[in-house]
Amino acid sequence: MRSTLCSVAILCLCSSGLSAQDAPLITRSGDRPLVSPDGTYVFQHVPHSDIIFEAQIAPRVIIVDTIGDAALRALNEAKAPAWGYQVSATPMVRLRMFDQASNPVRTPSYMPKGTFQLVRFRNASPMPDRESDAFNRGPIDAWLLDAIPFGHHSNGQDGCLFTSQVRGEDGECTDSMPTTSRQVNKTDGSFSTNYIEATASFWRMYLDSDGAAAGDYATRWEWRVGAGVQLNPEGYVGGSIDPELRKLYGPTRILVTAMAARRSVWRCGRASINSRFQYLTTAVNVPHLTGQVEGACFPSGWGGSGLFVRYYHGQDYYNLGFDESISRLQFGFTLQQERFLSFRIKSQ
Amino acid sequence: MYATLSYDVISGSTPVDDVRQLILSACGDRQKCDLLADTLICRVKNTADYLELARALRKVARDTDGQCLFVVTLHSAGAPLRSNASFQQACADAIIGPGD
Repeated sequence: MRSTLCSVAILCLCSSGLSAQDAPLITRSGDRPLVSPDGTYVFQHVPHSDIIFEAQIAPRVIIVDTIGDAALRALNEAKAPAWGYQVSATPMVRLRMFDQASNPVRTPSYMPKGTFQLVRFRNASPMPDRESDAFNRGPIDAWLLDAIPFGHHSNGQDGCLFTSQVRGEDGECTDSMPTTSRQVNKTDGSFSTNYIEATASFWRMYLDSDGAAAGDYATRWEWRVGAGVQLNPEGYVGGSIDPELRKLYGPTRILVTAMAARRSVWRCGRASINSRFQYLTTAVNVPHLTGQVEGACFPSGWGGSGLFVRYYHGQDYYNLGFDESISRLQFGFTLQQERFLSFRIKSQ
Repeated sequence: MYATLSYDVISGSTPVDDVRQLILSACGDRQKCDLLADTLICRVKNTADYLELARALRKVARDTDGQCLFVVTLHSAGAPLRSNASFQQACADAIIGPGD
């Protein structure tokens, strides 16, 4: 099945049109942009374990946005900063179908979250004339604060976390026998945590007008680097992490992220590379460092969908997999909502 | 995409016909279509091309000591042209082009 998936992917990419139409991959100035969304994926793992496929479904719903308005003001003649913010919600779900009797989708990860983003754009062009091409090419320098004041990750199960535990009449799980080493209940063990996360990034966009809407200069290529922290505190609203899980999960994580993307590369309307590294300040049975590097191609004419390949190493991110380390090459289809930003030229 | 150019020529040291020719030459080899006297549309490749056209027209205005007044407006490809006068529809449609 994996070789068939590869063949289909290569065939689709080679046969995609040579159209220079980048419209689905560019956000028009003034429209509500999606900055660093999670993306929707359907993919396979190698080396193959017992997973038939894995999926992540993560549509971002924008509640309030002024970043679109900031993109109308960023190319102002005084090169003054233009600020914008966005409040959004993402009802994210991750699931794995296992190669077992009846192919179960076992213990999906339910991961809804609210996101607040604050961005500061500034035209870093050395040119003074706002009506020259060089002025409007930027680059645009931006600082991005990406904060998740509330994120939830649970698996909707009600069993005890360890196989050696039983739930008493009071609803609490206690060990039914003395144990020297505990096994995580992978069948229906309850996993739940609420987290807070914040990342600050520097972002640079190089613009040109080819393929952009009338009056706009659109990003031709961009890069972004950031650092942040994720906390999983006890007692943070209902469903927060319990003390036993907290000792094993690695509740405090230092984050480092990087991204680069370019418009119209070979047959890719958007070609991107993303990386995310987490350092777990406490780790039991898994490495302190987890990381992933992902490359993706979104062909023109595919409506914003594309193909990706990712290498992941470290603590398994799938709820009850927290006590295992995995090294996987993942590949498949993705629907990314992120688009290249456009900025409006200053009219007379 | 395309630009609409409306201009007005004032008499002065440069003959009016010469000023008009300078305006039309500022459009270069861009595909053009006259709509009315002193109004035309021309195809532009992108926003940068539009800015280049505006810059060329401003140069004409400076070189003729302000004898040329103009407004040049950028439109998306396919954006309808609304006019209260008749003009060469086929000529205009070839420049306006299909929508995005």
